[in-house]
Amino acid sequence: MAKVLVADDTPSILYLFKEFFELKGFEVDTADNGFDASKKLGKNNYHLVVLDIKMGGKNGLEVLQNLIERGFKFPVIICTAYEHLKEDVEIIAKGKLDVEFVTKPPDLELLWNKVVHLLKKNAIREEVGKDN
Amino acid sequence: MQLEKKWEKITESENLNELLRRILDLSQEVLQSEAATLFLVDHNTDELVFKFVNGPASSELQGKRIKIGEGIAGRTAREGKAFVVNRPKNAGYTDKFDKQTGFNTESLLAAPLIIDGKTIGVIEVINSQGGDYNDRSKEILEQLAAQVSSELKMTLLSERLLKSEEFLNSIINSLPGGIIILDEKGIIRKANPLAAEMLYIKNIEGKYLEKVLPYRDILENIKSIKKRGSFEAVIRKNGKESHLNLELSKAKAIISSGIEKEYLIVQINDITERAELNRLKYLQEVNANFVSGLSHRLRTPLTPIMGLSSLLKDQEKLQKNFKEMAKVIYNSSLEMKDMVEKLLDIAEIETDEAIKVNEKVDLKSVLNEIISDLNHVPFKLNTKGKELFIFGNYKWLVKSFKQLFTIGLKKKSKDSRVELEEKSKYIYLNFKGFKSLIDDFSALENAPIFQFDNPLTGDSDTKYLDIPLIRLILNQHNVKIKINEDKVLLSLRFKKAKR
Repeated sequence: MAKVLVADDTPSILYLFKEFFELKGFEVDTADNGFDASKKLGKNNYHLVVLDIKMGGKNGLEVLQNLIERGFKFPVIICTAYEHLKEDVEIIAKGKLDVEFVTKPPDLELLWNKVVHLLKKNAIREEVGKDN
Repeated sequence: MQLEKKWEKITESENLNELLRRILDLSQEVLQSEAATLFLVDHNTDELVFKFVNGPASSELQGKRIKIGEGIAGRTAREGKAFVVNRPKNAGYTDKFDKQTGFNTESLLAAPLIIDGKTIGVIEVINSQGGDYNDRSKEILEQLAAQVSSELKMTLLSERLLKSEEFLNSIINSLPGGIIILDEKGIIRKANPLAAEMLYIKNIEGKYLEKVLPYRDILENIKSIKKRGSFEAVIRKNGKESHLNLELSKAKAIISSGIEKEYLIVQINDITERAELNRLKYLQEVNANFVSGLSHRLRTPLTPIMGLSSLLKDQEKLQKNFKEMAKVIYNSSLEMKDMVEKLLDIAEIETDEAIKVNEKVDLKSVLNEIISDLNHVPFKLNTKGKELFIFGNYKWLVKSFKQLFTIGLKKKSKDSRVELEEKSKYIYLNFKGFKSLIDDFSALENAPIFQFDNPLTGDSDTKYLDIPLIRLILNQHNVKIKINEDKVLLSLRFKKAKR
């Protein structure tokens, strides 16, 4: 079963993403702050990470930076209310991690398209990696 | 060497007019010319005045005026560089003055007189007696013009003129701001009427500033400045508030006594209007920041409302009427999301003041970004595959195009299509067969900006926000919008950016 980590400091948003990803057949882990998210990312293997940016403790950009520094390759969806942070995300992740940017409130159909796109891209990469 | 010696002799002249005239004579002599003119710029009327004229037509031309840019002298003044024109009539120059005076201009050389980067006049020699004017003659005249300019500057700044009290009075009385000149004891030696008016004080010359000025904070600030500095002050009188900027500097001058002393010069400018503008700008920023902050915060609670209702409306296990309820919540949340986004746009426009259109943007890449977001957009590119650049703002173009496509797709037919076309200097983005775009654009041709509903009918529709916003963005990009209702065509014309 595919496993996703969702990090957001708003409980109702965590609830939404938990329901959404479970309906799509994922196993869902949640974190309500950046520290918890980083901790969980260090211990588990995820197929996908959904990150809010403005969170207590560590913000989403710091978690993203941390993921890159630790050499993790989980595909990431950044889901934030702040559209202008898109550029910062692109600068941090360019060439290092597959990241999609989604503005709150997301259209779930579009969000799902992005999830599928990221997972396919990652699967192909893993496949190519195996052959080599 | 010979030229330099002659120059030295000329600069000994006491009188400015005599000096200018002798320079003109020298230029005419050195460049072996039949005639010569010295023009001075009248900055009030943007004209050149024939100040001194040597040659056969001198009496007719003296005091006449030409527009800056007109003829060779006018062009020299406008462009700030020297010109040589042999046989000007063949080169298409006007012979207005030749016709008036009967003089025949065969060749002409003109150079600008420039002080601190500003053209203040032109020196011109006409009809070379030793063959055509050439680069060497141009060089000589430029050299003479530079010397004239530097001498003029020196003369203007020299104490010969500043020593004159009359001159000093006429300067300070004509200044657009207030001036007070204080001696080392703090006695007001000179003040112009404007300064007295700004500070609400009268008959102040010869008195101690401390005795006549009732504003303690201003006096303390003046005392605290040693050599040079400025400060702002607010004065309240008769229920009126004025904001003043006071700039202090020390300078040596000779006033009344004939002995040079150091004075403190206080320049006063009324900045009430600027202060009021700054206050309004601050309030506008506070307001826009509040709207922007609130819109961002609204997105958070909207996320579960929109998301959960979206999941519920598609739940097969749910009863039909519950699914309908979820659908109503979902659709309302979409409307709310749209409003929140528009609030953010408007707040951003308010803080940005205007949308800056200074990036080189490839229209094709803007369209590609939209099309990847919107499904089923019939799009045709009538260009040869190259990039189509305009000067614009990528982010705002994406926003306005996205809106255009969204409105357009509300009412499309099987023939509807969007075309990007290139024709000489322009790029056209044509929306063909989108009835809803034509309807909304025609209905809101002259609508006031950012109405939440139609003020006449009370009809409430997002188009009252959408269309003015699109128009504003396109307007900032100097886009020409053309609507053809019969052909159901909305055409946007962009000017290409040069490569």
